[in-house]
Amino acid sequence: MIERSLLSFFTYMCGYLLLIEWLLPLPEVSSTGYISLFIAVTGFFFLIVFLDFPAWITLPTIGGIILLILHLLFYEETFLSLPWWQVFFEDIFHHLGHMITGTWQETSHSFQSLIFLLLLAMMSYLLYFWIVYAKRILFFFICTVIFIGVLDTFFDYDGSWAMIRVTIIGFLLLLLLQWSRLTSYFPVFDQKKALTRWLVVSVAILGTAIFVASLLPKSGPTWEDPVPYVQEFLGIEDPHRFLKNNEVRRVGYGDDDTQLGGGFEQDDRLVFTAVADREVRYWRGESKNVYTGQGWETNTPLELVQESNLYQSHVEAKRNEVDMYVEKEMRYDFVFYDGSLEQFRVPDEKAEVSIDNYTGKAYKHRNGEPFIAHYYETVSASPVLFEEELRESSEVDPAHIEEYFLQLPEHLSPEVEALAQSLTENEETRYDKVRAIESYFHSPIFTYETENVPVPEEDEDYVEQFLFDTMRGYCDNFSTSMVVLLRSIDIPARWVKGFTSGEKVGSEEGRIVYEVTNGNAHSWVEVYFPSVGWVPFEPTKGFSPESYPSIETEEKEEEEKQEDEIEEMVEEETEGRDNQSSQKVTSWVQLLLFIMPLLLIGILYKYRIPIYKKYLQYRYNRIDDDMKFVKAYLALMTLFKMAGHNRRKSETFREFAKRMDQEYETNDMSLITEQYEQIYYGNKRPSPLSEEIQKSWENIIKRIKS
Amino acid sequence: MFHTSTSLKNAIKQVEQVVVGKREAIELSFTALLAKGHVLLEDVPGVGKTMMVRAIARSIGAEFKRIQFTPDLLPSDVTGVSIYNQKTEQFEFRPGPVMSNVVLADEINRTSPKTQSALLEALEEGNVTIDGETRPLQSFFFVMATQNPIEYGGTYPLPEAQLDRFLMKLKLGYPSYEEELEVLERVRMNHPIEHVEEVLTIEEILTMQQQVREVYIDDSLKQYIVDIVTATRNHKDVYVGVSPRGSIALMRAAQAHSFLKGRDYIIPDDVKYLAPYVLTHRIHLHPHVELQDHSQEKIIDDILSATKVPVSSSKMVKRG
Repeated sequence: MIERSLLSFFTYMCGYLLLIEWLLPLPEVSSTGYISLFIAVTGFFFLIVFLDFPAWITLPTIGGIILLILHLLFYEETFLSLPWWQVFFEDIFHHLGHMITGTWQETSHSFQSLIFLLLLAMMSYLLYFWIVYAKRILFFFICTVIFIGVLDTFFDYDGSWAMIRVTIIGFLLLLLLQWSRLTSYFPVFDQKKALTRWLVVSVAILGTAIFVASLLPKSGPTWEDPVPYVQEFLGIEDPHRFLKNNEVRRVGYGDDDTQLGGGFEQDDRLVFTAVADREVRYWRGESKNVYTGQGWETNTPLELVQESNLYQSHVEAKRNEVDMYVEKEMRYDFVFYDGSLEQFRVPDEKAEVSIDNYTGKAYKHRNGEPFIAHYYETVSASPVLFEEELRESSEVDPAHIEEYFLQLPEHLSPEVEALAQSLTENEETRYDKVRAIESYFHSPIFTYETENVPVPEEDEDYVEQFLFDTMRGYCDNFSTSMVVLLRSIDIPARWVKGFTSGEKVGSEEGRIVYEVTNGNAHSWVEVYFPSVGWVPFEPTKGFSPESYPSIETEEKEEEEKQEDEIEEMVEEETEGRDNQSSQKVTSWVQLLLFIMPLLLIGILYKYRIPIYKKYLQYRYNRIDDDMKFVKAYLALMTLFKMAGHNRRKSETFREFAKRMDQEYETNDMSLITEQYEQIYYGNKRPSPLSEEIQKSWENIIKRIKS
Repeated sequence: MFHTSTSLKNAIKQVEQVVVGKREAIELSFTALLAKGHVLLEDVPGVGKTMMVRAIARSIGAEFKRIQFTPDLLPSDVTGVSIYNQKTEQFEFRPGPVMSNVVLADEINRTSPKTQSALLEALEEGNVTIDGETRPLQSFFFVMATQNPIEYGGTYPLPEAQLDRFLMKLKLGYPSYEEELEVLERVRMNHPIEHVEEVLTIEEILTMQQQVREVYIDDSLKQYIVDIVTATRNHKDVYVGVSPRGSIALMRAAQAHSFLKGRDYIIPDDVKYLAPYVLTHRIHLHPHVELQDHSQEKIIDDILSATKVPVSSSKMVKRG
């Protein structure tokens, strides 16, 4: 029998606080949003579970809350309408598959939230079992401490205060639960006094310990940054190797492109954050020039220069200053840049870049050693290109371009060239041909897909497989195929890898802030125009080829204006949407704030009987004179009324007492009623009152059902 | 007080040996007796009315007389008569049965109103007038009158005003199946009335009657009594309600009942319990209501379940 008392409510709420400590760091170590909403919802779960309604009330309520939260966060359809359910179930069934195969990164936010909410609901049950039923918390307490410790050590989360909070809550819980376990074994007569003593002593010890601990000097951390230490310990010296081990089946920026194909896992780990003056199209890493039939290699000579020369010097360009914040665990010794890299600077360091003239890869180094900088500033040139300029470009390529950028594998099927010819037969200029081939990849016959992309057999060509067989794939398929098609009609092209611009997360003093994750890793195509330089093209379906800001038509002024307007509109729209969702959340927080007091009142109401019982026991712990007895007796009548035993007004106390004695199988009520009658109807003042009266009175209080 | 109630309980036990399963009626009879009241038993013949009265008389060591009321019974047959003694040449008073301690007036509704009123005068006044001379009755005088249910033929219903003279009206009713078996077993050899012991004396009873008057009644309970009585007067189905004599009767009965239960104060339960016995024969319904099977008992019940019982008052809490 579980006695649901104030004590168990209090301990259960302490359990809630412990669980909250698991939720609080989530936004800092993962991309979890709306954490306050989750915390509030968890609070709801805890209350609902604690109120211990029958399952047919509890479960639908929890289910309803989960659906409501999902609706508020993700769905546009009318809540619980037919289309809403359709979307909901499609979402679930689609992502259940991902869950079973373990490809978590593929699942949508809504599905993850659903699972997360279910997990929270289960945790509230589990903690209820632990705290209220089993009265044990040590395991969960230790887990929480370890969790905070790990987060504090390996992530950017400062867990000092969390640790203090957890310690206080945890020990408080331990001693309260220990108390309720002890009292269930050994009944204590004066519960209140004993609990007070228990609490005072324990809290004093705990308080002293924490106070002294906070005053004592502490030695510095043994590990400045444990990550390299762990790497060293595991024998992983080369950070790149460490990285490579990690990236085997993950999307991201890697070095090895000799074997393309196969599906990949999504990975939303942040790679770097960039603050740029202007819009960025790509973060360029490097290009590769040799297509082996399976993947890409490089055979260009190493020719290091100080400034990248993607474009001819006469091309008009806009300067773009970028501040890069690279994540700690991302250890690249080269620079990602937008357009053509002109300057590189690491504050307070004598660091430089050397740019490979052929691949455009910009190595960072310091004192001749490769250098991994986590913060640096670049200045690059975003070219302003005009379609006419590209159309009019000379088509006579220099020898070194022809040497390295027209290579094709020997066994390549003539079908490829035939396709390229048929796509470009109506086009005259190189630019139009390139556009024609690019738009071919955006036609409906191709599908963008990251899973179920086969790795070509040994004797099978990666491009042929994609172009003529599967027609499904992701950026590597599209970009490699485009390069091969271009080269088959003698247009020099190369394969470029890097990142897309990433997600615009805001602005900082008029500059744009981009967050780039592993999922933004991308590859595209650069085509050589002798009088311009290397111009990027975007064949991958789903990535807009048109939005490249640097290729403009003649009527650029007007267009710019329009574009600005459109941009503004787009911006407004996105802003509006952001506002809307944040308003939604705020109004929900307000609603929660409104509901909480109601809920509190509800709880007080639900527990009014135990609360009133406790009060009576406290108030009338010694009934020593007749007037006190009369008050105690009348209060008991009130308690009976609260417990649903109504006395009809024509019913005498004696009749009522008899009825209650039958109900609770005692005769205590009749006994004390007789005493009352003596005082009231008999006009007597018996003193002292017999001890039996006190005992009977307390016995009834205990027995009255809550 | 303790002693008294024990001996009373003993007396009740003695009577119970004779009348099986009628403890309530016996207790009520003793209540009436202690309140100096008289009882009207309304029941069919043969359910043990006479036996009960005889047993009560015996248990308290009282003189018992029985008057069988018949249509030709004269008042003097009840009260007694002065006859001329030729030897002494004087009128000699021959006391009637009413001059006894305990009187059973059997089938009181079968005699003429004249004779009835002779008895009823005795009930109320405590004395009788014979040949213009008023003669006191015994200091302990208790009458139990029986009455066949009204619908029996050849009866003279008691006048409404005279019903008022009885403190309460009781019904014995038939015994239950098991009780009747027990009755048969008890009378198999000889009648148990022979074994009734005298556990009280008339003097003790007289003292108790005096003590009953001292039983405390709280003002709130006086109000309760008046509330109930007033309600009978205001009830829509009632033609004549309970008189103030009824209020007094209810209070007296409650006092006696408290005393019987060993208390020296009245509780509302006494009043509530006694009200049907004390009040039903004091109200008279509208003729059309009587036809609709609305009995007096039901009306009293209705009134009791609508009247608020005094259970607490602010004065009490302040008093401390």
